[in-house]
Amino acid sequence: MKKTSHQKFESDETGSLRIELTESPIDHSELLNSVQDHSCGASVLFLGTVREFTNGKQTDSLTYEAYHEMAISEIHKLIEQARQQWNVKHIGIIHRLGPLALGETAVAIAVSSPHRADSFAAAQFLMDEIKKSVPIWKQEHWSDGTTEWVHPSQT
Amino acid sequence: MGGWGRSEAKPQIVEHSGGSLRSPPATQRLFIIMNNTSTITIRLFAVLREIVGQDQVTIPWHENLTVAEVKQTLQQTYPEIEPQFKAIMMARNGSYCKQTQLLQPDDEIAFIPPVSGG
Repeated sequence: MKKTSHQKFESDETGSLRIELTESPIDHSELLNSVQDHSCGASVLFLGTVREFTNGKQTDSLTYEAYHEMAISEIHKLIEQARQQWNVKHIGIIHRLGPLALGETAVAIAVSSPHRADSFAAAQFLMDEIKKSVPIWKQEHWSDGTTEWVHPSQT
Repeated sequence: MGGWGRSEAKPQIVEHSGGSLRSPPATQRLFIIMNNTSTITIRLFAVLREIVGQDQVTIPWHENLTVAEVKQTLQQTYPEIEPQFKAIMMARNGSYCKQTQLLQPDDEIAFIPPVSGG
């Protein structure tokens, strides 16, 4: 089956941004390396992974679906906001799509900055906002054989 | 021409997505050929895609068509979609918009159920 991938990359003297949606496993080491910079004393990597139990219900696997073009542009807007609020240099975000097994990485966010507070804050902001406004949906495949498009209010 | 959705007209969806046109089954609720008509594409995701059974549908455009009207059309055509529309967000050409948004020919509208990335 063909693996689809959508991406955006921008770079200037103030830093860089990288956004990817991919059906392939996320190489978070490579992502972390890509934000590291001699001008930065801090790099933060956040991974969102597939959890087995949610409120007592057991997950077998997940499937993610995206409105690709808009997901990229909404993540781009969030990165711009983060760069206005915090002194961060490089930001890389990769979101996995398609079917995922337990423990696999669904999203990876890497941020670097001269000082650690900015990277921590920006990474948290980006993850929280991705869950609110970026058109990506998660379908739970429960262990009892049922499936459900999960709304954030329920998780 | 252009009068759809205003008075007695029934909601009409002119074609579906998925590449090739298939013949609609006898029970198909929507299948009306419109010629020489500007259209709007509606993108559907997640639970909405499953209810409609297609990832996009096309409807005719007319002057002063709003997102709210498109939403109403979809809801009339697929009544089972209504519970999903309570928390729905809308986007026009890839940016979130309001229901009062006026549409232009060839616009792409997306109905966005609550998201759950990450």
